Amino acid sequence: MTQKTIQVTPSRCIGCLNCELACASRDWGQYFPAGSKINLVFFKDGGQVPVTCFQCDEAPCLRVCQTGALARDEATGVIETDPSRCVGCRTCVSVCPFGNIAYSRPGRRVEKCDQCQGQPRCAAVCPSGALTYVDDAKVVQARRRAFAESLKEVAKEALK
Amino acid sequence: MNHTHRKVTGTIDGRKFEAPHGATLLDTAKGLGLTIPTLCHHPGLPPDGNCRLCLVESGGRLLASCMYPLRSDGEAFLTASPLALEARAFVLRLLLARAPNDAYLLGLAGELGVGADPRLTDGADGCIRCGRCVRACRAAGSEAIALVGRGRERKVAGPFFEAPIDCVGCAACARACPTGHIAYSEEPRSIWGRDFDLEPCPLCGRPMGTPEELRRAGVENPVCPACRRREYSKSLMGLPEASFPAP
Repeated sequence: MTQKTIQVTPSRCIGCLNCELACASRDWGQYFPAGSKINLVFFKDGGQVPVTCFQCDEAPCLRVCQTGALARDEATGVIETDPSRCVGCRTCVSVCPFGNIAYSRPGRRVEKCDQCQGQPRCAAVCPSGALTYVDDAKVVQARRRAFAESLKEVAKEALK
Repeated sequence: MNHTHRKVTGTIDGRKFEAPHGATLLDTAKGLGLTIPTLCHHPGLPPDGNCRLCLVESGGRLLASCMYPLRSDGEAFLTASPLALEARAFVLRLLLARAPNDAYLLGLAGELGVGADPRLTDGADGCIRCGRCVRACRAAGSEAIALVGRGRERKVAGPFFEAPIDCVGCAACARACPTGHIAYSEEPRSIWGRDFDLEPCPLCGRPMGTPEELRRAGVENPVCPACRRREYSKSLMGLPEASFPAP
């Protein structure tokens, strides 16, 4: 379980692609969306969703990696890559249920979100709050609060 | 007996180190910021000590540092003693005889002032027989290729020197090869004398990989990564205040 999460709220996304560009510029030094580890999925009938690695607890990528190129940072819970250990078998790419890990042919390494070592650029540049970097505990808290809000009127009724 | 927490101390080039019991000499030297040249070593694969470039001296003995485990206190190693450098130059001449055009080897040869041994150049095929491809293949989940034969006959090959039937075409071997000797093509996929089909994504038609490599990964009903992202993003679209990962 991660300590902090890049939380995605699709309804707030305005599709500006700032996140993709900020992500790609870190590793490639240029605005190169294909090198981004966060991806916007656009739909023909409107709307878009930014998606990136969830840092799964039972991560299939981590399970299949035999060389230690993928390893979880026990302090943060984030699954990090070590390009020097990667042999390029791309099994992790095949098994990720969400398509959030890629093999970069120009870079000769697997690429996945590592939350920028605690300072994710995508969340920093997101202008609309669709991407926020929050404590896991707060995600739960916010969700509980939203659910409670939806029951407020019912609760008032019951108390009458 | 559990040695997990035991530490071993000694010196490398006169510098003191403290390493976990069983750590390799190469990793420990790296930790001190020392550079020992390597070719067959890959941090993600088990060491095999095949190329001999990483030889260092310890009390008149030569050791392959990539697979020398530190188990006793007080050992002193020298990475650039006359003996170590002489051995390294000798190894380099032999490696250059196999791979005369490799940029990394040529760079090292320039530093040490050696060239390929002119008596041995008839086997110059670019492969140094280090077996990194074989180890990468096993790590990736197959055992399609192996080092076969002995001495000058030794080479990497599939069973019976034929195109390896267990090869899934993932090309991890070619990416792990330190001299870039293994020829392959991504699209269309071909390697080791075999041509592979590329499975098209059932949703968008883009090639996902060979059917054999997808089967090896154990993926049922594979869909390409871009379409996987699309598929689960769809389910999040209808929920105006949804956010994920969900608690």
